[in-house]
Amino acid sequence: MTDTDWQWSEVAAAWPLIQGGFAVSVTLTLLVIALGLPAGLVLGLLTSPRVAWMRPLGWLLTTLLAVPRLLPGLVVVAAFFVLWPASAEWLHDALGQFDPGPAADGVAAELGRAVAAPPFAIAAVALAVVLAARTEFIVRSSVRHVSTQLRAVARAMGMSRGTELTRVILPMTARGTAAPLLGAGVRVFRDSTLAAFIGVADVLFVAVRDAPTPGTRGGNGHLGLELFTLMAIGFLVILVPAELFIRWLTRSRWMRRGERRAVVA
Amino acid sequence: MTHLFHVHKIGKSYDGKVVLDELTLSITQGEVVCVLGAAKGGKSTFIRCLMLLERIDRGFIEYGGLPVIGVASANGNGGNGKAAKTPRRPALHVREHRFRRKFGVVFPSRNLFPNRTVLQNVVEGALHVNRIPRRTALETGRSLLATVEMAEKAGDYPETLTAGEQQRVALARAFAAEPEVVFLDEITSTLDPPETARLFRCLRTLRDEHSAAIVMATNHAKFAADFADLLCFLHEGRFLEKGSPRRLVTEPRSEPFQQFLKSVRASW
Repeated sequence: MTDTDWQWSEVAAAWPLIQGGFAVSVTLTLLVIALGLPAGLVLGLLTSPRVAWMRPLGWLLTTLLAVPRLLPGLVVVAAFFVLWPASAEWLHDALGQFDPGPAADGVAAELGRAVAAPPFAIAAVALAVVLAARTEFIVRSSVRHVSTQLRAVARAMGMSRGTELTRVILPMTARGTAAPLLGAGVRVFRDSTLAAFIGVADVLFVAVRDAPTPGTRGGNGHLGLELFTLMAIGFLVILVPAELFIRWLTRSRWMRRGERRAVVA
Repeated sequence: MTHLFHVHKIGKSYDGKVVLDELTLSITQGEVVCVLGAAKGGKSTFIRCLMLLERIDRGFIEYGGLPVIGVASANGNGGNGKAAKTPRRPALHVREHRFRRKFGVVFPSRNLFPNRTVLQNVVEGALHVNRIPRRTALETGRSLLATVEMAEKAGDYPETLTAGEQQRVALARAFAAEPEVVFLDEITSTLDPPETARLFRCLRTLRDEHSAAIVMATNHAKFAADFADLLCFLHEGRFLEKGSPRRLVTEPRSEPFQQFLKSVRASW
């Protein structure tokens, strides 16, 4: 294929496919965040020595979670796919009801079919585990930085462990974790393309598999470059505003309330 | 007068080094007790032990006539020799965090939650620990802030305040939930003389307006002599002197106390 041979006129035909692919990617991302973030928050508190109800449990979890956190995302997804397909069965069963059947057409149908397929559930669980591991790390390192003096103040006030957690530790932790956690969320959307490698019909998968050959309606054709470009633009359209939102949020007065100001000489 | 705290021959050691040694003290309702002593003399440890923030090794503590930690056993109590070894756990009826809700406390520094405003800091415990109704808590909080001359900074964050202002806010907070005892642990140690004087002025007003007993660790002997009902001198873990402020300051008996008075007199 000659690289400069753009054929945008043919791309229009593939547009619904790309749309369907993005719908799958976004759905996967939202599902992964919904599963992984709360799990990571809970794990982060369980593994924090300062909160520690059970230290040995904390150490065990920290060690286990280091594996998905440190391995490349693709390896984790592949590992779940190869080693433990049953892990995602419950999720697959739950998602199965979205299957619109083979006859249906359109973006919603594409989405339904992709979501109902087994690889989608496996990818969701695998990416959720990765997100949970990253979240745990962020939360644990942030809890460690809540000052011991403030915790002594909380205890001296007569706060129970639960009140101390909700009124002191979590609010103080939130300031340090908000930006990295939102960043981790953005990263999930980028990482969701890894699901394509185990056969989830996300945007990357669609661009590779279904790209039509010019002049035909068949797949596996030569419009890869155009479709990849479209995909890249799509990612930027979604992620750039997300980045801007995170910047705005973390610099907002609400997030920085009471924060130590720089001393100007 | 009813006894709040009754502390009998309590002792505390860290790694074999004795920090508190057979301290006995009774605190009645509304009484002001000042514990004088040089730095590292065990004043803070004494206060922390009364609040169960640290465990005593020996002796026992009663509150309102009921045992808090340690027991007044027949053979260990009074008489000859040392008090009985104290178990690590408080008495069965004592829930530690509930027990602490009867008290207000101010530490030497960094008392305030940086993510909450001055007023939010003052009402934090009253609202979320002692569960005082919102309106009452806020009303009390505002009037306390007026007492400590911080009313116009109610909406500011602690970061913008001076050390003295922060300590005054912390002082207001200590009185916010109608405490039975207020513990003040070296609250002026980071302040300069004018800020110290201002804090002491606020403290006097608070004492007149509230019925709480006050246990204050300090080395401002002059203020303590004027402010306290009972003065104690803590030296190397022991109460070397204990009695009415007038007598203690005018006729100090022990050598270390005379020296202590001489050393702090220089900074009066």
